[in-house]
Amino acid sequence: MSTMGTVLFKEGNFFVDVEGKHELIPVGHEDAPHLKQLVGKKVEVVFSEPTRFIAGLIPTEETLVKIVKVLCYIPAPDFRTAVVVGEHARIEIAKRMLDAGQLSKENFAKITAPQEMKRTA
Amino acid sequence: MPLESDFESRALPNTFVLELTRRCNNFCLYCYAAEGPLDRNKEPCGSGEMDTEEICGLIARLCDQLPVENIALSGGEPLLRGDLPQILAFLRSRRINPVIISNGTLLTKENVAATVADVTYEVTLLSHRAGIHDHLAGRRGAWQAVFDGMCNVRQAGGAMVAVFVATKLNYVDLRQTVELAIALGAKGLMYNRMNLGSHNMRWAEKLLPAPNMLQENLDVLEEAGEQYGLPIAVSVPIEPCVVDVRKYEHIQFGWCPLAGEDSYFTIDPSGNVRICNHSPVVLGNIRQQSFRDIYYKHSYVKRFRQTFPAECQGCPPDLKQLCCGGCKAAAEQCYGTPERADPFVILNRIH
Repeated sequence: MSTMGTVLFKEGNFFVDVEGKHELIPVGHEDAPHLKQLVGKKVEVVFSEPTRFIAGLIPTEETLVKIVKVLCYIPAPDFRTAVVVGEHARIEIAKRMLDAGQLSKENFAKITAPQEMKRTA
Repeated sequence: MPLESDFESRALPNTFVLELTRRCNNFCLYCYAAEGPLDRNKEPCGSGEMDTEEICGLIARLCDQLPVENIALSGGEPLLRGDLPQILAFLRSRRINPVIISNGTLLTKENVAATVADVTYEVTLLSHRAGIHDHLAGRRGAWQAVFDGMCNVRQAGGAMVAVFVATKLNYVDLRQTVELAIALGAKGLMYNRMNLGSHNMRWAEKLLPAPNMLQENLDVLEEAGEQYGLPIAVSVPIEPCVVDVRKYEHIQFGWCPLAGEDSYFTIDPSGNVRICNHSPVVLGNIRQQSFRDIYYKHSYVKRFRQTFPAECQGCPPDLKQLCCGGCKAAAEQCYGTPERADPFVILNRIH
């Protein structure tokens, strides 16, 4: 589950303001420098389910170069909440591979086919 | 079975690998399974495998004993099991995060639709070039099947991580393969150097990447991690005495959890428990024994935790602390003991 919010820094802790509610961001010692850069900025906030905690923050501008630190990284299931490359950037990469002859037209069409609705149990 | 009576107070692990079948439809040259891909398929279809009820019972038993949070369903190829959707439904009912570790060739639209909800797929993508992927996977058409499978997962809104197994044959393809993985919708990349075992040791000269190749690959990954923000994890240890890994900021390096709380004990299709998916040593059977007894009291588990390879004694303390001697399971497979250094270290003649 994800929603929009703004990153805040208060009394030594990082929070994200989601609809007026301040959610504490769990911070490992390597995360703080990255979070400092996000203070005051709008982000997409990814919450884990079923236990609700902040699993990732995604800056909102969609660019080819986007550095996103996934807060909870290991074990592998935590990849689930990482949304790191935007749709536009993904298609750009595929186009480049098509132009370089690394992808056939048929495979390019498969890569760019629209996504269906997200399935959940 | 050798048991010792003293009790340890270490925390219990919450992540397990469940090997649902030994069968596999690929014949990977680098296959790390001790018996290798051909022998895995000799058994009659499904023989010796627990049925759906037994597997769900086993999961329930584990949950009764432990704070289980994550279970990775592996094999062989787990999608060869027709009851995979039922097993996943049971995991969800227990609020366990399921991961499917797959070669990706059976991710048809139908299979994806039946499994995608709340699952993370770990899919092996060995190259952006079909010929290289197919050669390493031992099967023509494997690459296109993986490509289509990853497209199916993305279209269905599923989450997946691409797994690149680095060998001498494909390491030059890493950059384009990472980009292809992103284009296919992968949300992360796992980079594993080929890990040696008793089966694939014979191919070491042909396949095992040299330190300079790994260094080149890590430079590529660092750049990709920075450029695309892609989460990148290295799971099979790259020992710092072979390649200095400390300078890489965008790569998460994994080290052997030494049979501790961060480990992923592995349960095979018959219920046998091993320290990890690479270890060939059976510690007991979960259908007859409690996991706690194995974890706290088994003499091999204690030995595995405490032993340090003789070849690594001369290493500087900071390196020793980082890698703890590398992959002991690989040493066990190749030399019959966890007391030797990882064969990757020995073959590179660092000591």
